[in-house]
Amino acid sequence: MRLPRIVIAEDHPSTQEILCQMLTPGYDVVAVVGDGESAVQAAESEQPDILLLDISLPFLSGIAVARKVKKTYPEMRIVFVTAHAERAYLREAFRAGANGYVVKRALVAELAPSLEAALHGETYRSPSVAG
Amino acid sequence: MVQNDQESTAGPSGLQERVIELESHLGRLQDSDRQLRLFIDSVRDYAVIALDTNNCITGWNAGAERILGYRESEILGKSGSMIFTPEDIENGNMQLEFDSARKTGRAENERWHVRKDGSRFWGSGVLARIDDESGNLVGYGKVMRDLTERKEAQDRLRQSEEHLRLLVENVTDYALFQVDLEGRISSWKPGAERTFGYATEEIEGKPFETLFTGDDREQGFAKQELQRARTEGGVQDERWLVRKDGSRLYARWTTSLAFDSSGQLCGFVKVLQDETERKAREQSSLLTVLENERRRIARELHDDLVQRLAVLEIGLARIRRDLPANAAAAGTELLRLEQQTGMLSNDVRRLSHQLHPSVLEDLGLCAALESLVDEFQSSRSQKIDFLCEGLPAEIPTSIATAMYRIAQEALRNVAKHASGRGVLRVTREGEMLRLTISDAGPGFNAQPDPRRGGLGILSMKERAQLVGGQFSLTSKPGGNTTIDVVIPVPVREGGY
Repeated sequence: MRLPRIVIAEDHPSTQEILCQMLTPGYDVVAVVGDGESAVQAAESEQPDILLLDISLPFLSGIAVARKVKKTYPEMRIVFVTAHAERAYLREAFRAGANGYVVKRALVAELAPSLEAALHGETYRSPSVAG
Repeated sequence: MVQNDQESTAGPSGLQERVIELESHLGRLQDSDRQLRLFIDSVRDYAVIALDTNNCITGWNAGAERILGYRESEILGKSGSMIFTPEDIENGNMQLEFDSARKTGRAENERWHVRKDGSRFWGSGVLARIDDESGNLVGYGKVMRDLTERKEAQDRLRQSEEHLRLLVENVTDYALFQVDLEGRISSWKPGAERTFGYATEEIEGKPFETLFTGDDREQGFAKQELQRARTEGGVQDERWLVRKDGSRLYARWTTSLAFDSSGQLCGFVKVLQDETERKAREQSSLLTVLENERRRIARELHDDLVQRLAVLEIGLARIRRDLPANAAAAGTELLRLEQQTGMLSNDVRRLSHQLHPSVLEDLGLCAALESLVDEFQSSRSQKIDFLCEGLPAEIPTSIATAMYRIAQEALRNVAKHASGRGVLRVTREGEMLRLTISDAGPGFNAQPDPRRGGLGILSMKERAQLVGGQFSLTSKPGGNTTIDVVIPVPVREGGY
């Protein structure tokens, strides 16, 4: 069975590492990038099943990356993994076409269910977001 | 004098006596005439000039020689017009002097005269008519002093006074005014009128602290300033003042002491410069520096500390998840650590957000304002209708920050003063962004006490003005309050 292919866009090395660990062995991490522009490029070249996106990324914010990618690849699933727990971010993320929104600190509990939901065409909203 | 009746009664000897007496009288007369002549000749400070009825010079003393440069021998018989200026001859002033002396006996003689070498001097004196015993005009006597130096000094003084007057009247970059010893405005110049908007008749006689802000009036700064000026001989000050229309200006001024001609202190002279623009520039850069620094610290906290704390939390959560089922105590401890890390993380995030809302840069003005409204509503039952539409794709950070901070302050006011439903609306009108925040009351006085909430209004106004915008607040006690901010914005097509 083919493992779902994932691109990670995250500029914080420790979080990159944690994500990689947590996605093994259930997922195939095909690329890890550290800024918004590289994320768009990787999404285009790898065309993963899921794009795991941070919001605060250098050069291009995760929100802008999502808008761009969704324009070309509307089927690609985008799950945000971010430290922002404010509703404004979550709202903008979904307006930009997100399929899931996970708050970093709740990663252990929320990552797996959010990816599952995304793969099944559902959306996942982190219960950690206030409001 | 000879009398016929005396002559007829006197004998030959009596006649002889009479002749001797007359001779002696004549001699005395000649002596006194000579004495007078000597006196006139020796007077060197005055020019004494005799003229006949044809205006020819018939007498010339040493003073005339000294002052005018002609020797008696070269001037006698010459026309008196030689010592008058061509202008006075031309315009009839010389003739007037003689006519006036002829008719009234004397004429004032205050005019420029011409010396032998062509140079001029200011002659001051009189021209008098000279009659014989029977009252017939026989000539004129002109007596004058050379008062050139005094005249020039007077002219210089008058000129410098005139220059000063013109200077004071024409100085409009500085506000000049005088204050009397009681602190009332006693003189108000055009520059002051231009700066403050008061006409002279409106402000003269009023205490000069009329120009001060209410706070400074209460503190008695005006009186203190005059007191300091008295003891220190003059003072400099700078502070916010108030124009006639109630608007404020930042002014820097000097107060000097004014003395009357007898050397008594009679008031104070104030020379004041409007430095509102400089102050605004300073504040603008100060505010920009402040915002930038806050943004930097907020970023640092969020992008570094919050991330690291998240990693810590994740790590703790993973250990707890993977603990063997029998390690209940360790699990509880880990949960406690996780929760503490979570609280720490929340605190740092809140601090970062308070310093500078990252949402403004990350998501734009609309999302940031919406987030403000969210925060507002989450902590109280009051509702705010939010509308944000048609905004340009890119709004300069300074403008977005100003609007965000104004909205933040306005919502704080809504929370304090209003209970009903509110509205926060941002729209684009051509090249203007309009931010309106209104509530249903009960509202407050639009001229609040600056020490109780008024500073917030001032800061909103200042923020709007610093980015070239206009701020207005309308509020009726018991009614609704509306804050309206219009800021010009460079428009680039596209929208959020």
